[in-house]
Amino acid sequence: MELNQECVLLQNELRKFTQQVILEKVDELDKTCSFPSDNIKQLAEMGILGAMVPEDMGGAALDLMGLVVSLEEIGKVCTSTAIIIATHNVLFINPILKFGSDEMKKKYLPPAATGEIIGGSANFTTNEITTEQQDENVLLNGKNPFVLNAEANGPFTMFLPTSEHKKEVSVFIVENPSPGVKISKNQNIIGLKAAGISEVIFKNYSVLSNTVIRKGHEGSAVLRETQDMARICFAAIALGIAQGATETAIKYAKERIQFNETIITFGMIREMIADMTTKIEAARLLTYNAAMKYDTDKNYCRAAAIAKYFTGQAAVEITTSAIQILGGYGYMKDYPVERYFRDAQVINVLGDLPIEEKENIVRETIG
Amino acid sequence: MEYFFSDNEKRLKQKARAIAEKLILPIRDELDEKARFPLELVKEMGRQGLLKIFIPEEYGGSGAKIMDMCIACEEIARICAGAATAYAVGALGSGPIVHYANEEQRKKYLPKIATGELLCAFALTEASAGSDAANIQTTARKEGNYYILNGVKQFISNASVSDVYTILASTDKSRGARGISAFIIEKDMTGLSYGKEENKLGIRTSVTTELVFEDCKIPKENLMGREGMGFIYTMRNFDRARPGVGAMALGITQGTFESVLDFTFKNDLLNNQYIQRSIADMATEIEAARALLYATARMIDSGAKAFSKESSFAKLYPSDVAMKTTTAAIEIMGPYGVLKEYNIEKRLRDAKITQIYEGTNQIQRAIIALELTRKIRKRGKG
Repeated sequence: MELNQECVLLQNELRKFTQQVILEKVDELDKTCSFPSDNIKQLAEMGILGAMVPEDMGGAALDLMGLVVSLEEIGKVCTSTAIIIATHNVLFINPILKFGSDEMKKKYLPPAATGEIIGGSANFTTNEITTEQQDENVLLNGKNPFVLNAEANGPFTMFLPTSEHKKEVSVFIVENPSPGVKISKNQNIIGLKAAGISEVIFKNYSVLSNTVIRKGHEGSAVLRETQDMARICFAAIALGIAQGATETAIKYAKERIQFNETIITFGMIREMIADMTTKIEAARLLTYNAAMKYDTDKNYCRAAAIAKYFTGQAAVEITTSAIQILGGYGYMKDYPVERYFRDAQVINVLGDLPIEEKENIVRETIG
Repeated sequence: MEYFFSDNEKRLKQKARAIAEKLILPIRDELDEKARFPLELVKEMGRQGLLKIFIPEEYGGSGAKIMDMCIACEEIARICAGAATAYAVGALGSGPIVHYANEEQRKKYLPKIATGELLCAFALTEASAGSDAANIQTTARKEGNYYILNGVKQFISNASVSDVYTILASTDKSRGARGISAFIIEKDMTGLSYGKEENKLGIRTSVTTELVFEDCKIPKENLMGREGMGFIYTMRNFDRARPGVGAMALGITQGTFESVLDFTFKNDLLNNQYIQRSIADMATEIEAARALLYATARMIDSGAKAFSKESSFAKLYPSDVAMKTTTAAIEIMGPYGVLKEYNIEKRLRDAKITQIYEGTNQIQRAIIALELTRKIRKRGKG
């Protein structure tokens, strides 16, 4: 699939940036579980924090394909940085941009587009929350152990189902920092260690009516569109991981000598590389296809679910094989493949789980 | 399934399970987080009789049965595969002494290994000799009544905590694999030091270190068996040890399966057919792995002469099942699976090593294929 000129330029620019600037910091960020503020700041200067925000609100006005290509490149080097960018653009900005009030747009979009604030989002499958109506407002109590970007201390979106099967959903913005919201960084996670994924505990937090984006059936539609875009973006990051892990494995196999030959000459290694490469190629076509459908206003739900399901699984399988090709070295933190492997595990379970994605694919297919 | 354990085997299983649940479970997370070797735990396993199962009765052990090793490794790995590795290195390290050392060497080391007074390890791998194990560069030069060792051993499990090592070095480079010899080394011999300690994805409580030999001078009596036989001893030692890796993989899988079942029940997911399919596959594959493993262990213990292929089966299949099951477990448990609290992510990290150490699964397939082709070639094209 041919990318347009704009995407190719963006891809080149990000490839240069990730290789020259981000690459050398990645191990340290992972080891120390540090939020990559410098990376984010520099990406903000490149316009990536307001990727799809219109220019008059300070954004770069890219289409989804532009964001997808960017995430793939960033994900290839630093998955944590990529997931922060995806969350901010798709799970935080997009619901406000598409469905928010004018007041919300004015308040949040310009600072978000320039990276002055980093928006987050609570993973909607891990809400352990009770709600209570109090006059005009809703009181929240409970927790979500999986709030993306929460460590950046910015506002974050929540999608709270209010009826069975997500038919009605309240979509609102949680002001942060604010009383009743306690954030504690989650270091006990296998991967995406630098992404600032946090546990958020709500104690009588009051959702003000002017922070509600949509509710009821309209809220459900917001969740659907948000999830679909997130699927495409998570697929793009998983694709980046798979590509990065495969490149590392091929480089190693071409250099490592055993039995007087480079191990790339062995059939069992070649077979693994053939499988990895085929899956990457298929994953890329599926992901770009979904993005293109979105950008051209075609029905993209099924394509998005397929892209996320296939690419998420592929990233897990490919990173597992990459470790195997590096053998003992692959198991050590001196090489990046074990990090790719850990990161792939988390990406694969963000949003809907693989079994739910299968269900989504069936539903969209059989009608 | 019923595997017809003897009374002794049942007692061993109960004992190993009690140690795992009472002594390892409470400190499991801390050991993983701090990558701390559980020395006091391994010593306690010795006191409780878990180490003597690697040693024959005449040297203070309880029979050196592969089945016993499998039972103990599975039970410990069900709780923590890092601790199981720290423990099972005792089998890999003592195996060559049990089978290839002379009477004097056996009497000197084995009774103390059986009680845990001495911990032992096995040192073969080097930077340039991973899968290509015969390519070791460490040399042992004979000088009078001594051998002088030089070289660096890499990725050695338990290296920095052991007292006795079986190490492989080349005594005659020109003869390749047939010029490799095995030696018994004690930790305080001059010229032996510890190098880099590895930072690993999993089995983090098991310590993995370089062993560095710089003009390490050892008495010629420390040669094991005959010169030039080291590589053959090594391959046979691996044949006996591989089911232990299979057992650890099985333990990881069993522990994972129990957690998944518990999670799906508590979250009311058991009516979902996707989940039913997944747990049914897990249960079937666990049982297939266990049956294959136990059949191999019984075969070796019954005195079989050649069992390379079966021993590779017993490592290859359970370790692949361990990776498949832990990966599927995360997909079922989702974000809760990747968080430490549920102990699935650790099992996934631990499971990956079982496809790599003691011969990668590619090497296992090569061994199996070699045995198969050898047989068919002998028969000829008719």
